[in-house]
Formats: sequence, C-alpha cells, structure tokens
Amino acid sequence: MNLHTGDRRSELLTDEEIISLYWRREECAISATDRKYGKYLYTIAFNILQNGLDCEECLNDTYLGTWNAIPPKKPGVLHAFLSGITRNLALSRVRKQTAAKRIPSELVVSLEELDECLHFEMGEDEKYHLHQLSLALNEYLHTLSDRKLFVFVCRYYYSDSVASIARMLGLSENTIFRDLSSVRKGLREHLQERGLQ
Amino acid sequence: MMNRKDEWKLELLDGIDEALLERSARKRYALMQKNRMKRSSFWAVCGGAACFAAACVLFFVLVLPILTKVPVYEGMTVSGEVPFAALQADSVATLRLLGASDEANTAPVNPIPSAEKDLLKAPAPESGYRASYYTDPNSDVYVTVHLDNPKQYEILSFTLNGVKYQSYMFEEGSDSENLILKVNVGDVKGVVEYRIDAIKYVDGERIKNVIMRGDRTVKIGVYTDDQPIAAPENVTVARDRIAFDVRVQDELSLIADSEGEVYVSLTGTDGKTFSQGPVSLKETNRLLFEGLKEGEIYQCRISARYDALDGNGSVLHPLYEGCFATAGAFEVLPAQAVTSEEIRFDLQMREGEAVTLLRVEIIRENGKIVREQAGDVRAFGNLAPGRYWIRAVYAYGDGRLGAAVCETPVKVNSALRSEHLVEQGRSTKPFSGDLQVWNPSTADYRSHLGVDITSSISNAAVYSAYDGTVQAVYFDKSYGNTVVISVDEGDLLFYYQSLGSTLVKEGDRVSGGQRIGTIGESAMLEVADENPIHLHFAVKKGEDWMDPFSNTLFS
Repeated sequence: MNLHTGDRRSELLTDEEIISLYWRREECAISATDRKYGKYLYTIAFNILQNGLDCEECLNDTYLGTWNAIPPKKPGVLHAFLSGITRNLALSRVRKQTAAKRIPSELVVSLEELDECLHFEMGEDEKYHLHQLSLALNEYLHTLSDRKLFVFVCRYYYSDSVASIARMLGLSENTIFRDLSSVRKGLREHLQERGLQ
Repeated sequence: MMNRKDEWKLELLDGIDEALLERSARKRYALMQKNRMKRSSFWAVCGGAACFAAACVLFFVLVLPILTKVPVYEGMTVSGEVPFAALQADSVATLRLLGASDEANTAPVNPIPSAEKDLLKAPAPESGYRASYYTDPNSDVYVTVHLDNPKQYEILSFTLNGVKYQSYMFEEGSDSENLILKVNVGDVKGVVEYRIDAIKYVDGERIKNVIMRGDRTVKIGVYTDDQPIAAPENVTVARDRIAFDVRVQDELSLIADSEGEVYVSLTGTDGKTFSQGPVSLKETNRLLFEGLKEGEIYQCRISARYDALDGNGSVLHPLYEGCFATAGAFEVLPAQAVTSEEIRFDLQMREGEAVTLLRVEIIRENGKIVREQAGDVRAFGNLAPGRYWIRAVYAYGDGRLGAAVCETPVKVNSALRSEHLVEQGRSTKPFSGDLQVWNPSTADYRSHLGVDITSSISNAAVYSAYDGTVQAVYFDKSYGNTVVISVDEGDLLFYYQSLGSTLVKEGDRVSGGQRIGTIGESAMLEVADENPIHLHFAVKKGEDWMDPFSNTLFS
C-alpha cells in the first residue's frame, strides 16, 4: 500500500497510516487528517466557538499542534487525540475574548448545569479540593452505563447540545434531558457521600 | 470572559480519565459518521425523486410528442423573398434583409475616431441588434413558420399578431412544415414585433393545437430617416472656455431603446480632446468646456452608439460635427475676397491688450496649417477652394504666446487647378465636353469627360479636391484604379482615376488637400497617351459630367 496520499487522493487513510505520515514528517499527513476528521473536529470547535471563522482557525491550529506533537506522541485513538487538542484550543480562544463579547451559549449553559452538583471552593485549598473532586468524578463516571457516560461526556466535555446528542443516539430530547438529570443527581449524591458537596 | 468558576469546572472536566474519554469519543465519532451517511442517503433519495419528477415532465413535453408525432412549432424566420431554401427538407433559410451579415455582428461599420474610443466606455448591448431583421417602410416581407410535422398533419391556420391566417392565404412554396406568409410591414418607424399565438391542425375529424416550443416572436427593424440629431446652440466663447447647449432630438427613441449614450467632445489642432457625457436625452444640457487654449480651433463632435435600424446593428453615429474657435487678444475680421482665390482680413486689437503680432496662419478646416507668414499680414492669395480659418499668433509682454482666430471659417470659391490635385501637377488633356477628340489608346475619336494631370515627380501624390466621403474604391476596366468621393455640399461626385495606388477605403472621411493615392497608368483607355502616367480627374453632377476646372461647379 502506498502511503503517499498523492496516489490515493480520493480515499481516506486509516489512523495508523496517518500517524505513520506524521512520523515520517510527510506534509500530506495534515491534508489526510483534514480529509478524515476535518468535519468532525469542526463540530467540536463550533460547539464552543459558535463562529465559522474562529473554527477554521482553530482547526488550522489543531493540525499545527498535532504536527508538533507527533512524534514523539503516538496516539491510540487519533480522533480522540485530535478532539482534545481542538477543544482546548477552542476554549483558549474563548478565554481570550473580551468582556464585551458573549461567550458561546451552549458552553455556558452546560457549565451552569453542573452548578447543581459541583461545589466551588475558593481559597488556599482550592487545588486540593479540585484534585479530590477529580478523583471522585472519575470514580463515579466509571459506574455509569455506556449510554449515560456518553451523554455526560458529549454534554459537558464536548458541549454538544441536547438536540445533537439525541440525534446521535436516535432518541428523543426528553430522554437525554432525563439521562443528564439522573447523572447529575447521581454525581451530587456520590460527592455528598465523599464529603465533597 | 470566563469567570473563575467556569475555569474551575473546565479544569475538572479536563481531568476525566483518558480511557473514559476515548470510549465515548469512539462512539461519538462513529455515530456522527453514521448520521452523516444517513443524511447523504436522505438527500440522495430526495434528489432521486426530483430527478424522476423532472424526467416525467421532460417525457411528456419532449418525448411523448415525438412518439406520438404531433406537430411542434419550432420558430419563425423572416426573408425579403420567398425562401426557396425552406423547401428543402434539411435546411431552413434565415435571410437578413438589409446589410447585416455574419461579420456585421461583431465589426462596427463606421470606424471609431480615437477620441470616442475613450469616451464610449459603456459596452454595446450583447448583440448590438434590436431586431433580427431589417427592412424599409412599406416593404413586403415573408414570414416562415417552421414546424416539426413528421406525420404531415394538415395545418389549418395560424394567428399572427391577433390576425388569423387560413391555409389558403399561405404563399406558394408552403408545405406541412414551412408555412410562408407575405406581410407588409406598413408605414411604420422603429421595431415591429410579430407574435404567433396559435397554430391549428387537423387530426382525423378533430381540430387540435400545435405544441408551441420555439420562440414565438420575431422583431423586424424598419428603417427611418428620422434619425436622432443634436446641435450646439447658444454658443458662448471666451479665451479659455466654450459653452453651449445641446439638446438631443430623438423622436423615435432610437438611442434610448438601444441603451446608447451621447457624448460631446472638443478636439484641438494639437489633438487634445475634452469630452463630456453621457448627456441627458430628455433635457437641454448646458455644457461648459474649460481649460481650453486661447485662439485654438476645436472640432466639436456629438456622437452616440445606437441601432439606427439600418441592418448594421449598434454602431457609432456622429450626430453633429462642426468647429469652434476660442477668443484671443485680436478680433480677426475676414473681408470680402477680392478674387475668388484670395482671403483678406483685418486684425483689431481688443481694448486693454498689449501684444506683439508674430505671424498669421491660414488653416484648413481639418486643422492643417496650409500657409503662414510672419509679421502683420492682411491677405493670402492663390488658395485652393475650400474653407479656411485665419489665426493670428502673438506674444504677450511677459513672453507668453497667444492666438486669435476668426469666428467662422472663410470660404474660398476658387476654381480647381492641377496643382491642387496632383503634386506639382500640370494639365495635359482638358475636359472636351461634347467635342470628340482623338484617343491614341483606342485609335478613335471620343469625348474626354475629365482632365488628365501629370507630374514630373514619379509616383506624385494625388490630393482630394474637397472635404468629403469616399463612396467607392475599385478597378474600372476602362479607367483603372478609381476612388470616388462625394462632397459635403452639392450633388457632386469626384472621380480620381488611372491611379497607381490608393490610400483610402470606402466610408473614409477625407479633407480637401488630403493624400488619397498616387498617379499611375492603370487606365486602359489612356495607356497609349503621350503622358500615360497621370491622374484622370472627372466630376459628375447627377447624370452629367462637368468640367472639373469650372468655377461654377457648386453653383
């Protein structure tokens, strides 16, 4: 199989083939990444940025970040690796926006939903509290079913809208709302048991 | 900006186990791909349904008629004669009536002077033609209605411009697929439109309508003498400016309907052009040209590009051509000529001016200086017939140069002479009129209806006697290379024949004194004359040949 994408312009490469291109420092790795995951990464960026131009720039920065990261990194699941970079870059952009600009609504709404189960503590113990919460959160997420974990990650990590999650799973929005409510309730109870609420 | 609480929550979410994120990310990516393919399939199904619907429509409109072979109307053409070509099964005649050929669609007939090339920035309409065919008023035209009628159904009638024409009214040569009708365009001006509304045919015992598919209208441009005109009025002249009113009279809206525009230009003898436009077609335009030269002669031209309905499409037409002169320190007052070949004039200084007269120039109407003399000159003689400007050139006290020109050009009505027509020309054989004279080339006696002029200079230049327009350039089997020029005044045609070479072409505007060719020996009828290399110069007024050197040519 010829890994030079010039010969396989119309076909998508596998993740291994794309990672191999990065390792061999072949520039066509970026175009191969864009062809396979461009639209997917765009939706992640758009959930946060809500602006087409910003998303385009974010994607370009993602590819640059990936080029710089691989090697030495060798991601197991390439799209998960890419989506993490895209998400972080999008959030960085949001942070740089001035006070006069509204931050994108889906991100705001989803973060606000977590207020009912997360208790923010300022002060000297802030970092320690955060660390404890992180451990407790992961412990709780491991107990969730595949579907509820999926709904939680899509909503709060990727800032997907309820409608988008419902479409993906082929379920109604009410079902997704109920799943989210149930997960947040479960998380609150779990944190209360650990004395973190 | 994000607050600390939001940052804290994001940091917490960033701490989610990679294994958990990967599990969800895999599922998320797979589901998004699946949904994308579902959407593509949905649109593919919609697209397929739309294509099917379109195919059904096309079937009933295009295919079914072919399968059932019902007559279909395909279009109309117009010709000036019965289109015999329409009788052939595999050809359709589309004859244009006036002038318009395939080349005429792209090339303007009138050459565009360089000044106007910059002026007319607005592009001509896409085709340049307002109609498909052109003819004269009250002329008969033949309209052919073309059908696809493989089963040769009998055509009963068709309706054209609301008038029903039965089959017995069709012209001879009509058949089941070409219906020829003779119509008279009438005493109309402008563009006439013919529209076909319905065509009836017989199918068994029933009368049905032909399916109408082609263009239902055809436009015929009817030429009119009522062409647009425009002329400067209320002209005021100063040393550095000229102002005048321009009102475009276009009763038939030929310019407006062609989306044409009117431009006005002044061009000095130095070639510098001042232009304005487009001017209003409805109102009187007061135009002011500033920054002009003192004592300069400006050729004024008002032009528009439009379809004059003469078959030439949308081309440049001059609406007005004339001259103005700016004022100067002198008033130049031409006096009555003592003889017909001389100009006399007076120069009167305007009040308050202190200038030194340097020279006086005599300038042809085309701007060419034909004579100049230093000092205080008040007459010029021995001038060829034509119209001349008198310009006095002077210097101001500070060394600046200025000039003054007579208000209008002076006409010199001298008779033509050989040297006016040929470089260092001399006449060798005069006009004989009704008198028969010996012709050594034909060895017989015959009238000599022109004058022969030779020169000691080989390939001597031949000049146009007057301002005019080249009507024809051709080879005459008796008199050789020929240029025929009509003059701007008088019903006269000037024939320059036996030329060695020609420098002009049909349609060219020429000025008196302009080179139009060289003397030669191309006239078979005079090739054995004593001076075979010559110009044979003849003048025709109506059907009569005139003595070219008569001083009553224009009377």
